[in-house]
Amino acid sequence: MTIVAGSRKSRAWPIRTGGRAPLRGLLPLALGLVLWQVFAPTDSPYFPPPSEWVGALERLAASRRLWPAISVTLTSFFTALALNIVIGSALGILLGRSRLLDRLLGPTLEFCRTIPAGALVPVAVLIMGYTASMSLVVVVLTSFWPILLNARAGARSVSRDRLDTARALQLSWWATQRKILLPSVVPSIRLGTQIAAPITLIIVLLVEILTQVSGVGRQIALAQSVFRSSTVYGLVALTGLLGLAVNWVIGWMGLLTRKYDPSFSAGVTSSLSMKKS
Amino acid sequence: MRRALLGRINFPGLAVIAAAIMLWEIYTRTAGSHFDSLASSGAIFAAIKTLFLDGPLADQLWHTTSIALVGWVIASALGFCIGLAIGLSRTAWTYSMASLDVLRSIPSISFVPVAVMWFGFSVTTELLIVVYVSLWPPLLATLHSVNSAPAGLLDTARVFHLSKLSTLVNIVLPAALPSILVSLRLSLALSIALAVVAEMIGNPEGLGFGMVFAQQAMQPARAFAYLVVIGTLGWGVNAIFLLASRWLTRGYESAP
Repeated sequence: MTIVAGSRKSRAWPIRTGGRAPLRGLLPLALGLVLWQVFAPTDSPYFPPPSEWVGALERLAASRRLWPAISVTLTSFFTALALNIVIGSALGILLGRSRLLDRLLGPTLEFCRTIPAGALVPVAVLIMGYTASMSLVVVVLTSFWPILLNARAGARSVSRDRLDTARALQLSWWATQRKILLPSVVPSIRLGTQIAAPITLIIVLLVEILTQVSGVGRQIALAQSVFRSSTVYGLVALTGLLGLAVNWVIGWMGLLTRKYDPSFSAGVTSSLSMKKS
Repeated sequence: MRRALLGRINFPGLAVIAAAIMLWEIYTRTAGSHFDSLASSGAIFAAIKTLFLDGPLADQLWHTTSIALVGWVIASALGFCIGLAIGLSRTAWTYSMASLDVLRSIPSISFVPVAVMWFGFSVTTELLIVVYVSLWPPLLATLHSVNSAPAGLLDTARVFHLSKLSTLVNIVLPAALPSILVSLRLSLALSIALAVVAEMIGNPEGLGFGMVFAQQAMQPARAFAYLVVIGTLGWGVNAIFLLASRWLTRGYESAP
């Protein structure tokens, strides 16, 4: 086994990789796509070249099926994510603040958490039929867990000093929740949301592929069933773009809540913030 | 030991599960009795029993479990090796990480139809799907934890003039073990989930196929039975792995 260390910084080993990966790293991917384009025959049934993917997507757009599909998928995604944030934070804070509830519901939640989304789909279809609300229920039930777990952890570790401060200032129950608890758990909820967002997108697509109701997932499954391989590849690449866009949006939304970060600015978090956090 | 074990069992929590099962039975027999698509708790357990004794459940359970485990082992080994290679070499990291980031942003589920297109309805399709999806967590965890080995420990290694191989084996990998174990647990759950999905779309065998079959035959009791079995499988495998990883990291400050 040979170990190649950075020649200039050989002292720092293993390497430290803080920050963004350099764009040079796209080279293998770009090279692969170029080779694919050059060597794959245009009518290859299994590996059509990338230019064919674009053509297939254009045909799909021309037949007015691409944009509606994208808009359906994105709508279900954002609806599900909003519900995830609300339900996950509420349940998480409740369980994090109440030891009794946590102990009572713990095993039930632990079991529900391990049920894979795919397994929920047939049962949901039996009960609710092939409907948009069925897909929403399945997506929310299987993708709000990261938010719940993070909110619970955040609510459990609210600093005792802050709660004591609230008591000393004789804040009402509501004011304590709003001014002490919520700001303390926002960073955890944000972290949970960042983990849950890609999962939510995956499960939206999963339900669409499994049930073929609507959306980009349905188009992929349809194209696969009639063996339009270039359409399949084009749509897979498209879901990659959706994934990147979703990550970008979530990152940007995360910036909006930065004022709640303990390290961001001591002045912003009002006079209640403690020196020692 | 036995007393400690008994004390750790969450009896109130288990009582809630029992109560939920009872309430479901009562609901499906009273207010919900006119819904044809629901099945009472008793009917679900009866369906599990019939499916297990006279039906295909045992074989399907074996199929899904074995494919998921085989896929998980392959994915873990591959992910660990790739993660290690990229984590240890700056050149490899510089010239591959951005590509990996782009590939990773493609929702893994989109590859299921691609796999079906390549290999048709077969075990190969199922295994390929399981391996591809469960590859990512161990790969990323190995990569990140190798790169963030505690500086103090690395200084110690330098003071003792440990070779690179020795540093890797004695310092870096043990420090990375807890987060790698967490990632392996995650990918174990993923491998079961994806095996079930692959069986629904790509390979007509196993629990996933049995479940879709029950749904299309409009047999809610059987569909619910499969849901319970799949949930229990996921829960059980997770619990076993958690026990094993606690045992592996028993000397650590922060076990997963």
